[in-house]
Amino acid sequence: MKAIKIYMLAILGLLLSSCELDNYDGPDAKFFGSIIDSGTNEAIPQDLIQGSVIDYVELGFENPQTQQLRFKADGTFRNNLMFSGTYEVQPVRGNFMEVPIETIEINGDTEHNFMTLPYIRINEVNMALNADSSRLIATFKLEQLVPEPVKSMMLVADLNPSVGVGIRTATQGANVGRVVDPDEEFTIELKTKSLEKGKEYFFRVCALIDVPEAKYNFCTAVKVGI
Amino acid sequence: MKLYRNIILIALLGLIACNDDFLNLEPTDKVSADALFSSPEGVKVFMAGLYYQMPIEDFNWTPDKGFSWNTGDANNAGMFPIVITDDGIGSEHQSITSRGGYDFEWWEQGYKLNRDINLLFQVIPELDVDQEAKDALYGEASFMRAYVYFELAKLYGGVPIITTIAPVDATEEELNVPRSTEKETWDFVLATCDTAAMLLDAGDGSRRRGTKYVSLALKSRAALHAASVAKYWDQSPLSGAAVDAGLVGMDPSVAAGYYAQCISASEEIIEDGLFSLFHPSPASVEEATENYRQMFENPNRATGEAIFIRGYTLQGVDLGSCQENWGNPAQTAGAWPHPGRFCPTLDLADIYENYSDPGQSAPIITTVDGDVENYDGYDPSRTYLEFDHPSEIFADKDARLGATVILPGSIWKDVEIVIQGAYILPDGSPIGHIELNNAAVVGSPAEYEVDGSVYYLYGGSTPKLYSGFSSAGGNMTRTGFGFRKFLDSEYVPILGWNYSTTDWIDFRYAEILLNYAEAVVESGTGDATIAAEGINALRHRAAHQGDIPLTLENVLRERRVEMAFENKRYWDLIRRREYHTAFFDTYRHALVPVQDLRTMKYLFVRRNCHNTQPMTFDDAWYYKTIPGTGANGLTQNPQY
Repeated sequence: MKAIKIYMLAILGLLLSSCELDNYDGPDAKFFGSIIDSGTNEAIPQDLIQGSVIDYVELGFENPQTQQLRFKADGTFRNNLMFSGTYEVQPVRGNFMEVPIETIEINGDTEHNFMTLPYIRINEVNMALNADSSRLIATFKLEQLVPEPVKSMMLVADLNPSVGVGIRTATQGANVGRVVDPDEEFTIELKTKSLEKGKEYFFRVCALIDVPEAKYNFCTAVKVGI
Repeated sequence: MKLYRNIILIALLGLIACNDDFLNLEPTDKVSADALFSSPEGVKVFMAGLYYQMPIEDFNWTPDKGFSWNTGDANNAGMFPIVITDDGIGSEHQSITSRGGYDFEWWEQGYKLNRDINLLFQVIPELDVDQEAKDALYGEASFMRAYVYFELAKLYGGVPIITTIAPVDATEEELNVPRSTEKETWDFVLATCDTAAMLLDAGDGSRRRGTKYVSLALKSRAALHAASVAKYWDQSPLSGAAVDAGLVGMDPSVAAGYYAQCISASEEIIEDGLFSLFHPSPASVEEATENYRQMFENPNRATGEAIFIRGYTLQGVDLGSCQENWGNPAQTAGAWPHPGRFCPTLDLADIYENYSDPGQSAPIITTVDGDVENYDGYDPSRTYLEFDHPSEIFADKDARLGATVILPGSIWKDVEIVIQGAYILPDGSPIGHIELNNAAVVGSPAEYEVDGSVYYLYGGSTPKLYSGFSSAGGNMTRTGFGFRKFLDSEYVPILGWNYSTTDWIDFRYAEILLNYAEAVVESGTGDATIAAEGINALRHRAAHQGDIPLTLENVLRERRVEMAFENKRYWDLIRRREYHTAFFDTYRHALVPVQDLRTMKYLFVRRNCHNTQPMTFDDAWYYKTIPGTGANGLTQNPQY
């Protein structure tokens, strides 16, 4: 019996020592940056859930798969778990004009900004509650940078600062369906009765251009206490 | 120890004592391929297995689990395909996709079935039967092949077309067949339907197997799908490598050709005159309702209208379905503990015409101001229409409404179905599911006494006495309507899975008339008179008197009404690229019957379904993701 125990221990020892946990290096690079409106040099705000994405393909493989990276609501992006290597990157299906595919090296801390123009800039945004706080009134102007008509616009509200098409507890929308003048002032009124009193909500105005696969363009979020 | 040594010795003796023939024994509990295919009966058995695997979108097709979900534990919480469309919503579920667009995966099963069909093609020449019998087998196998690729094309767009079985020594290149374009795939489906229709005859009338007319019906449906994808692609165009290669999407210019194919296939079925509508001229609205209901309760009553039926004969695992369990309202659920899972929406009920205003959808008017766009809940400042009995509000509606859904106050299995979501107390306070703006429900008092009589919030004292709105077991409709279309008026659900054996009509003549009408009105070709006669024949069968003109709006309304819950709506929204507009921040709506304890009458409140969120369809979901692209090297569909 003693011999069997020794043999078993020896076999167990062999099994345990015969393989390593993993023989590949872990992710060692960080990739971050913004998508920037080259006219104003500011980041183009995005929708978190149903917004634009960055398609990226790691080169050097036989059958590389396209992977996706999402933007944050403020138009920045960050992936801290990338593998060093050569990548083709391209922001696609967005609220901005076509960005060409770029081939970049990602290693260490790699910052990369994409320069383009949004379909629509939302300017001179002003948000305020009316006298009895029953409505939030947003006034704004839409500056479109492509000739296609503006399809629709919305005012969205949520407790989350990343408020957008995918994250919202209240919405007021309107169809536009035409080309708009940059000096024309728009107003959207959102009833506040479905929002909780005493809390601070984030509001954003967004507008959608009539271009295939386009996403809404946003203004930066405004915080208003109800 | 001696004993062990002897045992080992005997075992060794046993091994060397016989020759190695025993390794080649044929199993006695399985039939070999040679034996199976050596007789026509064997082929028939094999064929039955193929039919069983076919992707027929029947009671056992569920959005989250796929086809033939009548397994030992068939619990899918009652997810029936209507609940992911605007025609219905689940009593507890509201998502229009249970796994974020990854539903309905049928890649592996589809290609397994395809392989079995290819095996059939391979053995047909070897069979000891005459050429006529071989042609019939080729025809039936072609029908199945077309059916399989139709399903794959709907789900994935262009797919690899594999019509032979690769040899065991095939190279990797031979095995990795690339995707064909979406257009090539549709062309293959339609050409294969033609082959099947050419080789097959009209069949024996059982409606259970592929025939000439089933193949033509499949072609009619598939060609309309292809034509619509081409015509409406621009409503929601996608981008990416798969689009650039034509693997998904088609140019609008090819739509005309597909509409023409739909027209010719439908025309052949109509002109050959073998099929007709079931009870086309009812004497009254009540008779029309009953006729329509009877057809779905047992399709074998209507073999003049049914073109292809999937039969269910035996009860039990892999044999029956659970639609009676999930579908019955709470009051008629027998021993089954979780009925009432599919709730037809107000949006669907609104589509049905009123007899007094033909040719128009007739949204159900609940207030004097007639505003049907207000879904905010009960507003005391508005004047509501009041009725002595809840069923009165539906009195003018198309006969098919009452046969498709269970209306509040209607009779089902000799029971008056009580669906009530709120009451208004004598002091005017509204209690129940009519709160403004989806606010929390005030559920108390749950009963109230007036002049010695007790009235209940949900219309009954226990959940066995009503069928709507309370949270009891998730068994109550939250839309104000119950599911009815296929339910059996005799069957009482028992505690167990898969006991329902109602047959499913996969193709029926009404769909062919509707396909024809849609193709004619969309393409401007074909015979507009026959097309208009088709949709009006369906309306006359539903006790409408006059005719309505052939317009796209009329055709689409008639299609949604006539085919409700037959699992066409999902594909209609997909192929016409309407899903992303039908579901853009969209609530599904309810009609809440309310008892007014001031007058003892009933009023109705139109509102968003309670405890729901608005739903949005992501345009990527027009196609499904292809599994395993890292290994099989196929181009992935857009946005996956």
